[in-house]
Amino acid sequence: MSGLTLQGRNRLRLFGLLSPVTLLIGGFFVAPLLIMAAYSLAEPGMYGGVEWNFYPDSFGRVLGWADGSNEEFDIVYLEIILRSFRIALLTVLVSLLVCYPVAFWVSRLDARKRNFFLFLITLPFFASLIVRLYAWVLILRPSGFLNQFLHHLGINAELDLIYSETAVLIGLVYIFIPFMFLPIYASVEKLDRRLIEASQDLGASRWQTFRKVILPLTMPGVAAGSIIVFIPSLGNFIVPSLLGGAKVLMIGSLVEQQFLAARNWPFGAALAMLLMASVLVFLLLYVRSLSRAEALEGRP
Amino acid sequence: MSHTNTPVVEIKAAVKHYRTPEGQAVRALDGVDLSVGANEFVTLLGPSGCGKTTLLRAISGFEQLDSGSLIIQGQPMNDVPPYQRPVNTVFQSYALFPHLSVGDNVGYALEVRGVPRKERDTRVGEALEMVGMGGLQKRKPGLLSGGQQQRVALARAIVNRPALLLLDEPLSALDRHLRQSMQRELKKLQSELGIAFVFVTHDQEEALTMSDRIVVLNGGHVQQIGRPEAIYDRPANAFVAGFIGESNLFKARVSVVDDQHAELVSDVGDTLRVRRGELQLNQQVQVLLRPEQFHLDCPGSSDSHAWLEGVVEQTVFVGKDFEVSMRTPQGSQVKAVVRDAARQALQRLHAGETLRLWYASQAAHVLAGGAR
Ligand SMILES: Nc1ncnc2c1ncn2[C@@H]1O[C@H](COP(=O)(O)OP(=O)(O)O)[C@@H](O)[C@H]1O
Ligand SMILES: [Mg+2]
Repeated sequence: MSGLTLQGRNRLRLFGLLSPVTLLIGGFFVAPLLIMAAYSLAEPGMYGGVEWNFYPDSFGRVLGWADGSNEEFDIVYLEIILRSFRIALLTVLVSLLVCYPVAFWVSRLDARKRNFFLFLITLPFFASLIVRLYAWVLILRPSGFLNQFLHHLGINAELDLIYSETAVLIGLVYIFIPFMFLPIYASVEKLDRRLIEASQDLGASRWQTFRKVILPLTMPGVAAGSIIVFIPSLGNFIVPSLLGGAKVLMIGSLVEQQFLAARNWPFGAALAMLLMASVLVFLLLYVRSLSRAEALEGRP
Repeated sequence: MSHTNTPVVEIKAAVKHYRTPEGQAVRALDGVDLSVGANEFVTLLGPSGCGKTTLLRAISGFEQLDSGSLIIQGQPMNDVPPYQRPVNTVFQSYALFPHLSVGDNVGYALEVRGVPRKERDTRVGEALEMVGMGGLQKRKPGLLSGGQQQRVALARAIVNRPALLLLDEPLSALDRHLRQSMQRELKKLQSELGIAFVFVTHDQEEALTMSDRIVVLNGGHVQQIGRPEAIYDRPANAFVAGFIGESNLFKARVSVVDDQHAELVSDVGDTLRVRRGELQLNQQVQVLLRPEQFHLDCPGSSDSHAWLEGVVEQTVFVGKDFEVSMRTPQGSQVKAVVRDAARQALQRLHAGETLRLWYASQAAHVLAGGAR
C-alpha cells in the first residue's frame, strides 16, 4: 500500500467508494433484467426448462410472427395488454379524482387532525395485503356486506360486483390510493395560498385560478402520483386474481401463470419485457407532453 | 386639496372580529370610518397588529366585515367577490406566480379578462416600462432580485388600471437605500397614473414623506386622520404624539391663566407655559413639546417664550444636529435637538452642565382630552 502513488491511492479509494453502489444496482436491478431478457429469447423446453437457442417466437405469439405450428399468434394477448392499460389508467384517474380534493381538505386541517389523517392513510400498510383484499371479497360478493347494507337501506340492488373489472378497479384504487395521496398532498401543502389570493385579486374567477395557478403548481405531485400508481397497477396480479377471478385477466396475472402454472419461462419473460417496453414508451410520451406544457407556460 | 370630489372608497363603521383556534374573538377593526378620494395617496399607519392588513383585505374582499358598509366607486361591495372588485393589491410578499414569466405575470389580469394577445403585449410592455423593468418579459420571477420582484408586482397590479391600488407594506423587505428610491418612484407613479393608493406601513417616516393623508390606527380604532403636517404638529392624542416623531409629553394641570397664556404644573412639578386657548383653571391636559422646538437662547421676547431647566445627561452629535438629553430637578427627561448654529455654545451641552431650554409658548401643543 505504502508504495502506491497519490493518484493510485485516490483511484483505489474511488473504487472502494463506488463498488457498493455498483454491486447494489448491478445485483438487484441490472442482472435480473438481463436474465429476463436472455430467457425471453430462449426456447421453452418440453417439460418446463429452457433450451439455450435463439427463439423469438415467444414475442411472436403476442406480436404476430409465430410460426403457427409450435407457437401460435393469438390476439388475446394484445387484448389482455390493452385491458391492463385501460384498468391501470382508470385506477390512476379514480384515485386522482379522490385524492386531489381530499389533499386540499387535509392541508387546511389544524396540525393535530392533519397528522392523525396522515397516520390513517398509512395505517393499511400494517395489515397484510391478502387479508385486506379478502375483506373486499366479503364486501363485494352477492351476499356480502355491500348488498346487505343496501338491503338495510331498503335498496334491493343485488349488485354482482365480484369477479368483474369494477371489482378489480375498486381493489386497485384501494391499495394504491396512499401512493397517489402522499405526493399530491406534498405539493398541495407547498402551494402558497397568497398566490391564490393574488390570482383572484387580479380578476381571475375561481375556475380560472384553478386552471392557471393551482393546477400548474400542483402538477408535479399529480405527475409523480400518477406514475407511481400507474406502473404497479399495470403489472399487478394479486388484485385481479382475488377480485377479478378468471374473467378479468390482466397482464400481471398472465405473466404469473406462465412462470408458475404453465412453466413457460421464456413466454413469461417475453410478456414481462413487452410490458416494460410499453410502460417506457408511455412514460416517455408523458414526460414529453409535460415538458411541452411547461415550455408553453414559460412563453412570454 | 383637490381630493374632495367623489370618494373612490367609503368605509363606514367597519367592524371585524377574528376567531382564534382557541375560540377567542380578536377585534381587528372596531368601528373604522375612512374615505379615500380619487387620485389620493392615503397611508394606513400603526403598530404591528393594529388592523392595517385587515382593513386592506376588507377593501380587496379577502375578509368579510362583520358589520359596516364598504362602497367602492359608488357601488356597495360587501357581497362582491374579490375578483369582481375594481381594486388591485401589491402584496407584502409580492406573490408573483413562480411558474409564469415576468410578462405573463404582468399580463395575468388582462389574460383572464380575455384581452387579445397583441394588445396585452403592448400594455404589459408599457406597465413594465413604467416601473423601469422594460425588456425583462421573458425572465422567470425566481431569477429576479427582491427590488425587481417588487417592481414586477407593481406592474402586475397597475396594468389593468384599477380605480384603487392597495399596497401592504410593499417596501418593508427592501434595504434602506432601495426603499428610499422606491418611495420616490411610487409617489411619482401614483401621480402619473392618477389613481388612488392606499398604502400600509408601520414606518412613520415613510408615511410622513409619501402621503397626502395619514390614517393612524391603533387597536382597530382610527386615532387620527389628517395631512402629515397636521398629524405631526397637532396630534389628536398621546398615542399619535408618541407614535409619530420624537416627543416630550407632560401630564399637567392648569394652575394660572391670564388673557394670553396659561401656566401649567406637570404631575411631577415642572412648570410649563402655553397659549391660553380654551384652557380653564385646574383643567387636566397633556402638553407636547417636540425636540426641535427647543432653543439654547431665547429667540424672541421673553414674554412669548418659556423655558425648562435641568442637567445635561448626554449629548450626541448626529451630523448637523446635536441630540441633547436633559433631566429637570423634578425628574422629567427632556429630549431636545439643537441646530448647528449653536455650535459655539458647545461647552454648555457637556454632560453635568446646567442647561436652560427655551421654547415658544405658542408652539407647545395642548392635547385635547388629556385627562385620561
Ligand atoms: N386570520 C386571523 N385569525 C386570527 N386573528 C387574526 C387573523 N389575522 C389577523 N388577526 C389579528 O387581528 C389583529 C389585526 O391584524 P392585522 O390586520 O394583520 O394587523 P397589522 O396588519 O396592522 O399588523 C391582530 O391582533 C392579529 O393578531
Ligand atoms: Mg400587516
